[in-house]
Amino acid sequence: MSPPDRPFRHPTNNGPTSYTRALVEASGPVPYEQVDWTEFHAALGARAELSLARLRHPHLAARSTRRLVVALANDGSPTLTWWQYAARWSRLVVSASIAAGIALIMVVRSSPKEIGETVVASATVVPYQVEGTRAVFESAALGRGSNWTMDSALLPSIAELLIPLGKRDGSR
Amino acid sequence: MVGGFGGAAPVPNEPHGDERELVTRVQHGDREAFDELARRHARRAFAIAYRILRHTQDAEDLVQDAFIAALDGIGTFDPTRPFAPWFFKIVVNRALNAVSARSTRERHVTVTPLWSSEAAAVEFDPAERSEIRQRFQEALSALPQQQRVIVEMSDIDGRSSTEIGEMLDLPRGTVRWHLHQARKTLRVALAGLLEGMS
Repeated sequence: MSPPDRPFRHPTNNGPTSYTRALVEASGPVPYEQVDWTEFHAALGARAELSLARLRHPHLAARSTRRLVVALANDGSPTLTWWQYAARWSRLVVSASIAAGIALIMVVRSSPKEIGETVVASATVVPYQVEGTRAVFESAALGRGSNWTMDSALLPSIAELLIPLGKRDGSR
Repeated sequence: MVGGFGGAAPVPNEPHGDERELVTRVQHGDREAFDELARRHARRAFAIAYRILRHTQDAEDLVQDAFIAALDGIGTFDPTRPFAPWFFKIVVNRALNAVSARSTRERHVTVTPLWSSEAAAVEFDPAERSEIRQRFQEALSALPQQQRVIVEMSDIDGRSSTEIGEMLDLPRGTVRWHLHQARKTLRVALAGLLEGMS
């Protein structure tokens, strides 16, 4: 082994050279005896508990850290009582209710036009067969027409009664 | 004394047979495995930290911090590789950072009694000891931080340049060059005394 690779020793003597002795004396021995090793290991074990627990439960430790961060972030805000939460939410609810009410009024106001249009539209799709009965009913209600009777308005005519019967027979 | 000359035993380049299993168990949060791993490496880590920091309590605290840092990062560690160089690299980096942070303010250095070592207390009379100590302390203080750490790890703790290179994150050749430079400086500082004693 080359000289710098190993401690400097006299080649013919196993004991330390003057240089080595002098170096040791100048540096001083390592004071192992000044350390209470039992206490050292006990303290180290106590300090290592948290790190060991993290190693045992890595996922839990990560979640706990996240929770801790959230808790620390919320730590500065004052604690709210239930009625303060209720007041905060009621402001939102009341505002939303007022807005909804205004919107409903607007819809109701605009609705008559739409209803009229709906009536007109529905009149156009009334089946042709009902037209006669309707004309009779309207003439009775509005007092129009000369040969009006209540029976003609309410009761179907004989022709209207017979035609479906005939259709039923035909279908057979 | 564990090994070397006033230092620790050399760091093995290959992991112990069961060290891989220990590391794997630690990666799953096994407390007993961590205790065993700490028991194996604490003293050597303390020696390294002390060599750099020159303060017992600071070195002890730093080793504990390094163990916790290693534990926090052990999830990314490959258990097929030896644990010691990786861990000692953490120790060395932290110690060097602590020294550079400490250098900006005044610090009180606990100087260990230099004559308490039995190995060191032979052959020299008090006058010689005093002179050697004085010269070596001056020479060591004059060395760059990295060279001082390298020469102490090598010539006192008995570590190879490969081990030191792994700990300091330096190529082996660079470690050898620093070691050569440090030895040359120290030999020059001691030249007169060494000639008189040999």
